[in-house]
Amino acid sequence: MSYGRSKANESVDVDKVRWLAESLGLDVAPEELDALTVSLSNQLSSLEVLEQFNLKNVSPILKMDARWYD
Amino acid sequence: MTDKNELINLSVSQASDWLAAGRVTAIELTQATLDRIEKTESVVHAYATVTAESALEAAQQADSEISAGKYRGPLQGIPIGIKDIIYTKDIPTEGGSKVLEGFVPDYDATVVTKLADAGAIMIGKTVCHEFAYGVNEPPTRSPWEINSYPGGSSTGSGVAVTVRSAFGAIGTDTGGSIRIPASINNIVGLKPTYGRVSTYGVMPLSWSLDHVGPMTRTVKDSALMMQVISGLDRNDSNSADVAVPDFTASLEDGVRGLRVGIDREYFLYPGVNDEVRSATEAVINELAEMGAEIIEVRLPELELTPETLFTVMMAEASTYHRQQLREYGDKYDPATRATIQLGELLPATHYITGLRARELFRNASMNLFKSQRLNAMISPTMPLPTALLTELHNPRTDMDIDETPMISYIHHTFSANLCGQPAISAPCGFTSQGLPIGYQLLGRPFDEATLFRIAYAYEQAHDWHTRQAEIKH
Repeated sequence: MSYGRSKANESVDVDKVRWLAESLGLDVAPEELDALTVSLSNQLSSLEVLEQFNLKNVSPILKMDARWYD
Repeated sequence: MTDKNELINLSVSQASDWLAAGRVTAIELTQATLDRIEKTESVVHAYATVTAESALEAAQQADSEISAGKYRGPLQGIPIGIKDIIYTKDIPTEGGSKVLEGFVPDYDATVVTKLADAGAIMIGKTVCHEFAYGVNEPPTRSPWEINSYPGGSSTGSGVAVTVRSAFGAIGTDTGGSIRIPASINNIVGLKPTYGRVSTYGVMPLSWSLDHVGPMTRTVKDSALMMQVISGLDRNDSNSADVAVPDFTASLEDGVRGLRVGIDREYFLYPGVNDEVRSATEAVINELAEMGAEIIEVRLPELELTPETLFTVMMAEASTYHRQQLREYGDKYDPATRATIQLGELLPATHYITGLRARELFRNASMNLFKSQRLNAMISPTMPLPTALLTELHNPRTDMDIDETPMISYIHHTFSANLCGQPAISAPCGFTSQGLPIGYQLLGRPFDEATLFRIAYAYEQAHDWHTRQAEIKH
């Protein structure tokens, strides 16, 4: 499931997704590739929604607490 | 002996009083609950495992202690359900997945240990969506409309509480998985502040978004359960070192002078069903009549919460499942598998951008609460009541909006997971079709007490929470 409200990413196609999945060691059934391609396309394009907001000078939420505890 | 029907209709608070007064025993409460499970399970399928034998043993122990004057607190002797992604020692914990079929943990989650120390009776493990991801279809059904979505991923916990086959239950919430089933099933569901309740021993969906919380019939019951399960746990690296207050201390203080914000543009957007809108406006008006100040606000950054949460959640969930997916991929439900595969294909830069958007939203929310001196914000829990299972992923038919019910459901719940603020869903009425409607309060970090205070005040003026669905065999 993805939440694409933007136009699908047209540079994503089944062959690229198959290659990417194989490169990452993912075993995607052939009959599931089309749906995965659509989902990836939508998910990649959903970043456009976030980038419409001004993220300049916004640091990511990352917490590293170096304190030691007993 | 008291009628068993009367027993199962007691709240946790009432049952606790009865136990203390000697009007009932823990054995009687537990047996009544087990009988109720037997009567309802063929219809609602709320439980993955019923722990009858150990529950009766624990009840016997509770009765012995109570008789001897050893009082552990209001949860002593009370039957509680535990979501099946939460580790329970020597009891199957399968996470709703064939991947974990037969898995039995060798330790308890911290929340389970705390409940046991408080004398609560674990009555069983409740059904959940596979690994709490919420994309497959578990067997659980809501009695309010048997062919409709029962809510998730704390599906069984929500249903067990509403059919009275548990006095209370523990759920988890990564994007609404306590609040959505609470709203659908006419019960109270609290997502506490991030870090308030330990997630040690809970299978992660998304480490930075996961919360553990109570699901109960009343607001007071929620506060009583929170009193037991809250607190710092060094086994959980995200556990908050914040003092646990008395969650019931201000319960009856009323709402006079409290400032409650409403962002109508986002939370009452065109996708909100007419009956849900009316019910929510009624709550707002009533809180105003009780003395709360209703503040019209605008938080434009709410618009980025759906994409932000999905981006963060997918990356984290896929990381957790990475090895397991390669070893047992064919045992996953196809929908869950596809979603986990999708998360693996996302660049790290997307995840980090999601974390930046999350920081932007968190700051904006904090600044709004501070500048407007808000004690809480209010919204419908979900824009629409539950939909038929067959309609869940189709464009909505109840109104002219380009959303599926499933996408609409998460519109209001994601924000609280992103910034970690506490959020509670509580009953506020029914549709003309008899489907429950819930409203949501969003609070300041670690201020669950104020959410309880507001929700309690509203609850005392209504009987929504006492209504039960008929179990149709």
